[in-house]
Amino acid sequence: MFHTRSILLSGVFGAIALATVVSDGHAQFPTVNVDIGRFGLETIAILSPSLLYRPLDMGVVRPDARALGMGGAYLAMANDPLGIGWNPAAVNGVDSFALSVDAMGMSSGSTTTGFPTSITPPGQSELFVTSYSNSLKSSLRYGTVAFALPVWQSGERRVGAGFSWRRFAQVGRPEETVLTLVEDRLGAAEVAIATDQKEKGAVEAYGPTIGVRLFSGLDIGATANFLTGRNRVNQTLEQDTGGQGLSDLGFERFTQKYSGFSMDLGATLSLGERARLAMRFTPEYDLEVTGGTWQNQTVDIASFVFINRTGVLSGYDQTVPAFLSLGVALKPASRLWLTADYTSQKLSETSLTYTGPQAYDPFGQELVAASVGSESFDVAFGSSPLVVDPALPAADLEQVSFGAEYVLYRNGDTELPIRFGFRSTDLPYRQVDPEDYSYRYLHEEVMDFLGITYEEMLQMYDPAWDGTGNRKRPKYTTLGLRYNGSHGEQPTGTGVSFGASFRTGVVSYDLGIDWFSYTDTRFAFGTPWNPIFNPNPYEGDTVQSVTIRDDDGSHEEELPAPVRHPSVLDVDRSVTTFRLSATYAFPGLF
Amino acid sequence: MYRASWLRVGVSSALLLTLVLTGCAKRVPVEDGAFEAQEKVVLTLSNDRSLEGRIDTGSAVVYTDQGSVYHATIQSVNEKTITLEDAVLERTAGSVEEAALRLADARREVADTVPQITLIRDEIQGVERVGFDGPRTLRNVTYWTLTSTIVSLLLGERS
Repeated sequence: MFHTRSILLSGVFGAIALATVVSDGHAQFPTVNVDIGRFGLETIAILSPSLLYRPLDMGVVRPDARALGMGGAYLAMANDPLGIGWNPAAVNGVDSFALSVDAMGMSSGSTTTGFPTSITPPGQSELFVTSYSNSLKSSLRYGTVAFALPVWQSGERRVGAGFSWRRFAQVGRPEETVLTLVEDRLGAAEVAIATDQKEKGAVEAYGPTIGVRLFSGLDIGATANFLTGRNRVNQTLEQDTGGQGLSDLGFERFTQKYSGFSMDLGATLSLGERARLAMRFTPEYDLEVTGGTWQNQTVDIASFVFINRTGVLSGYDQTVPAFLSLGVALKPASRLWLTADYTSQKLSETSLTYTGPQAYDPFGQELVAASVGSESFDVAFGSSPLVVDPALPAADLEQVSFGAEYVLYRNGDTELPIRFGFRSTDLPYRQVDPEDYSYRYLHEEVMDFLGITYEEMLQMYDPAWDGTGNRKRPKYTTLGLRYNGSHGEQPTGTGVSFGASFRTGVVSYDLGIDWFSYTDTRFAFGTPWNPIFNPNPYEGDTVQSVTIRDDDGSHEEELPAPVRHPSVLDVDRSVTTFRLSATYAFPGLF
Repeated sequence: MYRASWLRVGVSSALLLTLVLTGCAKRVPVEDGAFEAQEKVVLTLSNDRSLEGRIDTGSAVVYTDQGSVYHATIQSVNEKTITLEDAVLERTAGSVEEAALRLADARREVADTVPQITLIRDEIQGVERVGFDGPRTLRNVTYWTLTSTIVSLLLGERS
């Protein structure tokens, strides 16, 4: 059942204690510091699943509001400094020095289904759920700053050059989750639990571009991308009872740095004035990921201490597969362009190689033993298995786009084009799937270790004996869970878009808006196991029974189901992205 | 962190101010050639000469004579003449700029300040009023504000 690479970790990691909501407050709790050392990505898959994999998707962040307005069917239309992000040959489209800027913003709405109608914190009364939402946070980010200029011309041949600093791949994914509860259905002080996951991160590319017009109609170009960037995650867990104000329950911080180099190659072939073909190809490249540090502070619900865990994610080289985009543009009328693009990146072939000190994915039970009852200490792990090939939930990016541009108004050097687009996108990751994670129970560990059956375990080891002569019900204490790396379905979404531009003289302003819908699968509060928010599915879910013979004779005993997985939620997302671009030409500057 | 923020604000503000404040004026021809003393105008005179500024006693003006640009002060204005004083050669521009630069080393400067220049009003060939170019200014302000904001976001990503 379990993958050989799987790991076992303490569920303590997931224990964010709602108990503090109804306790006397956590300030009195002692703090235990646990250094879990250097670990690999499969440990991250347990600690914080949302941080496991961020696709290096170069497709969705390509710049220019004009492109967004046409649904991403823009490759053959790129002809200004922002076009560098689409096709390096675009630098030949400028007749004078031109400076372009581009920014993007995002907001989203969501509907979440699958959260239980009530939850019962250990030792507390039942709380009824009045709402649960998980949404991507609104954000405003730079897209690209670029310039281009013609540098040489002779007859039909010409050479153009440019320089750009652009968002190459978006890795930050800020989101927030809000759960509201009441103590009884008739209404009482409402309790709100919220996670605010702030993320600021991107792989950025800066570098020069050169384009050559070999002969009339054929432009080729190349861009050297020096890659840099980082991702910083700062998640806080807060609660508010009866509107008395927010109080912190814990936090999680994570940082990574990126560096590398890649090349973009592009070509545009103009067939007269009414048709263009274009291609962009980015060969496979390596991205060096270093500086991974992780910190998590929560209240351990079992021992009622603050657990402050720190660790270092081992550095690795990520091989990012090649990126290919093909485009066509047709001009059936003097004011109308029709376009279509196909984009593909075999991101499922993404591979990792750990660099530097080896990564170890520690066993959870060691942590449990070490973290309870001590004030402050470090934990060293010995011979835990080295994970050399972590199972990433990667999937291929594929996008088909169609677009149209129509010049609504034209007078002298003033133009007002409008644009429409449609796209179908296979998002380049696999959904989190309940099958990815499997629970492990304390009694199973004993059985496995000794090679005995459940009945033999009870007769031999009898952990339920309380010393008073009365048998207690066996405690199916969750010891930890394994990450299997099987992964679920690849999400597919559709988007429609609209755009408009205002061009006058040397300046043009462009606006693009895209509405994209898809269904995501998420763990409740982002955690595969939490005794409150994503509780042990055994409770109320027994499907196996065994016959127990003891001093009281024979009777049936219920066991947890042989395969147990966490619950997941479906989140229907509707994401609105807008881009604003502007280009200023400086005739005669050079 | 704070240093990066100040850097971001500083760079963006400097970019915005420097670039917004350029090129926001336009010239509107005055058909009848009449102008007021408080109006900023450009007078075009015969023999490739021009005078720009407020044509009033004591005003600082820019006088151009065949590519030589002088800063001067108006000494007097009457119905027949405009007299400039303290004209200082600032630079050479236009078609004579290259020749002036080439000959600069060989030329002997007798005096930097021209004591007095008298312009005959009958030689005025055209009058243009220098005004505020609203659309152009709006266009520039919008573009450079957007650019500064985006550069600020870019720098913020790095901080």
